[in-house]
Amino acid sequence: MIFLFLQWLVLYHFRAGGEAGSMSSSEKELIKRAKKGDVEAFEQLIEGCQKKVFNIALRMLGNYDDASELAQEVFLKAYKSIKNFKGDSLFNTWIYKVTTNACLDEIRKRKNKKVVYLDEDIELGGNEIKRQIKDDSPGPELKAEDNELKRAVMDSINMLPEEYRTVIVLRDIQGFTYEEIANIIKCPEGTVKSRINRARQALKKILQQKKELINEEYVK
Amino acid sequence: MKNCGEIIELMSLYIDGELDSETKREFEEHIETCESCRSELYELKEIVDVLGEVEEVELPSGFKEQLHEKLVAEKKKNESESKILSFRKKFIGFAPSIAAGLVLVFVAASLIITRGLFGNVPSTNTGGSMGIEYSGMMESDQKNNKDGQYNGLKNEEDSQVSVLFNEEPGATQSQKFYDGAEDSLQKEKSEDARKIENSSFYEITSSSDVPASEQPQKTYSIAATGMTVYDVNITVNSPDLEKDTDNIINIARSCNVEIEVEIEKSGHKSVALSGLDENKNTLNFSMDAATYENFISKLKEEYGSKLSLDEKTDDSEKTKRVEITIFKE
Repeated sequence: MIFLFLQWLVLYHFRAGGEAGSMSSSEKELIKRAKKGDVEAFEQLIEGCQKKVFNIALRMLGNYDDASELAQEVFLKAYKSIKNFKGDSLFNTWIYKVTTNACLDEIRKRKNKKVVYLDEDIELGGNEIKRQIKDDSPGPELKAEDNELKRAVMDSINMLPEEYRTVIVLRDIQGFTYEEIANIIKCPEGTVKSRINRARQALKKILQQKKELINEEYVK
Repeated sequence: MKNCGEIIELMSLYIDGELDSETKREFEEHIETCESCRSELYELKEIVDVLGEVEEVELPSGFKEQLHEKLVAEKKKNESESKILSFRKKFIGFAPSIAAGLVLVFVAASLIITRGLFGNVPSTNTGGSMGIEYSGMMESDQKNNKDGQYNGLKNEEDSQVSVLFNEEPGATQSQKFYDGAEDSLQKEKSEDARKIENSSFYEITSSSDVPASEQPQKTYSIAATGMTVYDVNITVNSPDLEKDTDNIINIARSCNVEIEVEIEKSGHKSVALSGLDENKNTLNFSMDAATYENFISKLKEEYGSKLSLDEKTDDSEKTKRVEITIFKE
């Protein structure tokens, strides 16, 4: 009986530690080394989150090359400012926070500059047409999205306001929990909950409008 | 019983399995009876499912190698910077002891003038020997050596008086700078560490030059006019705060900021990234006039009309404080 209780106690604390997201000692050690400028330690730290950072950027920006460039910037910035990382959140959470902020900066910057991409649809009198320029590098992300609905959904994401886009990317594409998202975007969990709902509704609306447009095209 | 509006509010939580069992039961009851909510839920679920199927894209080829090169380059840059800084740190580290020496000499010399003529007060002995050892070495000590080793009281007094004249301008000079620092200490809490260092820096320049120079006057004028150093206090006010802060530091770096005691790497509390306001960072730099002009023109180039400058000259003559605010909308 006592043995069972002890076992439960150990297991409980072990799990609780994991859930609270406490840092492993090796991660702490790596952070310590990285703070002193150790490149190798830093690379080990980011090993697990590089792909995710790139994918968040890719879905937020909707462009392969920009995402690659931004991800590089994110890690360089993280390396430079790891001294400011206080360890009150997980290292990965911190990195994702830096990533989403960088993406939002980039999106806002673009709004001012009005960057036009060669593979982007252009609007003419309310109808979207494909830009008639040959795209030599379609980018691997397009291959996976030949499915029509999938393609439409991905396109619609880029039309979402950035705060909706952020939660959709983090929740529905990257699969972060509500709690993780709250930590990443520095919002109360309640805000995250309602924002995710509103973001999905907004996405649905955009898709419906798209569908109607396509139907009209067919009717003509 | 919940109405449709409430049900729609709960839809995402239901899809994500975040509802407690009671609310979940109510939700499902409503869905069974309400067709519009049912189709709404179905459509939403479909979108969420599609998004969930989006596959992770592999990192671009050469991503890690490219990043590695950038990190190594950044590390090298930092190392060379910290070398310069540690050298300066060492240099600055002498400042308090030298300053203390100066004060002692000054006090001792004053004592001798006021009391020394009437009798040998014990403390003047130490003061006297220190004075000779410190800056009298060059001139008066040589004189003394000719006459014999610190023999007569009169000789000793002579040398001490000369010490006094040698040191006086230096003492006032450093005093002046120090006053400036004290002033701003009260005004800007975040600046104090650097300011004091700055003033110490001047004390060194003037004092360490004394023994080497035959004509003290020249030495001081170099310290006073040769380097007009501005304290640049930058308030970054921008929605892209992190980025702009980095950016400004980089611009400053690209201008070869001379006395960069404050750059993060120094480990002094000087890049006062005061986290008081979420949308405001404060940076402190010291740079000479030419560098400052260069820095400002680069800032203007970078930010154009978004830049708002507010320059304020401090009460102290040689130190200027400049506040720069960057708005970005």
